[in-house]
Amino acid sequence: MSTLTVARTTLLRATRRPSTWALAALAFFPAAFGAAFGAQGYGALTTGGPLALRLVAPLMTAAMVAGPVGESFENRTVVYWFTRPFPRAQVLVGEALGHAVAAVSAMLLSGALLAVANALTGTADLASLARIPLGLFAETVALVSLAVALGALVPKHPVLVTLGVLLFTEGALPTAWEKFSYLSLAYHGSVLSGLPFGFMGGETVMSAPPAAVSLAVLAVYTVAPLALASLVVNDRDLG
Amino acid sequence: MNPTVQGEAVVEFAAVSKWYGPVLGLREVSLAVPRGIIGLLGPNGAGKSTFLKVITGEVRPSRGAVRVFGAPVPSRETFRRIGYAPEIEVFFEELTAREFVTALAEASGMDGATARRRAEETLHEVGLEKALDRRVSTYSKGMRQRTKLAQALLHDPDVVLLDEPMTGLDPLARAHMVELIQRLGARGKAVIVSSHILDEVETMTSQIVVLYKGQLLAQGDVHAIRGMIDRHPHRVALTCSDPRRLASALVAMPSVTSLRFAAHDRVEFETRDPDGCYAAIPRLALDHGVKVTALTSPDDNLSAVFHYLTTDPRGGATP
Repeated sequence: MSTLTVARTTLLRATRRPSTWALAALAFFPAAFGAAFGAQGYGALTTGGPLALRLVAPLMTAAMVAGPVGESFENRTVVYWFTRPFPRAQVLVGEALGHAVAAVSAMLLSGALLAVANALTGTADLASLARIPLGLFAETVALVSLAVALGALVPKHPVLVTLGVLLFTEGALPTAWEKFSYLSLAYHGSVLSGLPFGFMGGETVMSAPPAAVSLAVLAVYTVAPLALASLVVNDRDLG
Repeated sequence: MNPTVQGEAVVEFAAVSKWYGPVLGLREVSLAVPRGIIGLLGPNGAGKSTFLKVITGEVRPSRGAVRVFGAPVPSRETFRRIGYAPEIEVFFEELTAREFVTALAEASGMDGATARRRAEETLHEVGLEKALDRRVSTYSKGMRQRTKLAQALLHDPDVVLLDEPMTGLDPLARAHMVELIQRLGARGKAVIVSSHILDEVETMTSQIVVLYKGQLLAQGDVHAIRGMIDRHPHRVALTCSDPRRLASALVAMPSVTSLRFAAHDRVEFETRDPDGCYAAIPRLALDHGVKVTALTSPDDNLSAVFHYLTTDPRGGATP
């Protein structure tokens, strides 16, 4: 009950922040990009797909989620929740739920538009109309959880730290060694959505894991950061 | 320094210390807070906010323990019985006061309908009935302080903690806040008010807790505490028809340590035995044919007590 109250309140606040809408507008870029390149014969998914997976979703989530969560700890407004009779962990879960609805809505739309752009400019693939949004959904939920956790753990510079972590897992690691892609959220998002991981069809010659494995990895990314943040926040002084 | 504390202990500190790294927030504080209004006083950095945060569980003591109605802090039980208005001036700015307080009411365990009703009731109680549906971001400082108080009261707590509730308020808003706090005390709640504004605290209560550099300097009735501060003689002011004639008699009293003429009809003197002087003045005035029109003690008040305790905190009262 209290978790849902926190989630509802978080979502309401997010929808009233102009920055939320500005960041959500990033969701249109992959489809626009894909449509433009698709019309040139490059394939909407090979251009728009990696853009959505590896740039738009992480960037949007880091700014939309980690920032407000970190700010609530830094300016101590989180104390209004923490002095109510329920565990601090439920506040973090509620924040993740509320932010997830906002971020996922934007990425679902992004996925749907990308699928439409692909259908209009290339091969019509009805299955992709479901797979792409669902794959982006799973990746975004994991990204939100990570962003909430990092916002709570490092409230002074939450967006920078989140972007730094994502740059490492989504950029540096896969570039350094292909097998490190297994640690990338975007990689498992690409497995679930069927979108290419590499830009313009490059990278990833290793065989993709089963969808169940990717789902499990994203589930771990969803649960583990929140669990760690809950443990730390439970015993940490607020002021 | 502990003059008699009346009533059941609602909040108990047992040798509580709190360090923030090398900085000392509280040092070996032990006290019992009864019902009624308690003024929590101290200069900046004295530990007042830390004192309140330890009660709410925002910070954990480095040593010692805090209990509220016998239950350890923090716990669900204590959160149900504590209402807290922190010193922060930021809220969930995107929400209206009604939405903000309703959300916190639901988080306190109320169902939706009850939460909405209680939110409206408490916002009415603090005088925000005309601004319920305006966003908090548009509120003045006074309205924000009242919103904080509303969210602290919505679950009808037994203990209300107010951290600097007068900050930024104009005189009218302060008077309204004082009135609200007095009503809470009259309802049998334990209200701990942290404040720098000594005049306002004095209008609310004579029960004080004084902190200085993290240490408990004094707790109890301000007048009793004043009586125990022997190293600062009491100042007494007399307005009379012939201050010079009366002064010649006062100077002869062994307990009078100094004397000056504050105005043409007013003499002020310092004495180590105020009660003895009060008893002697009528006889002295009668014997010397002097008409006394006013007798006051300029430093038998909170400001003086606070000043004496915090400018020279070593030693305290003579046993």
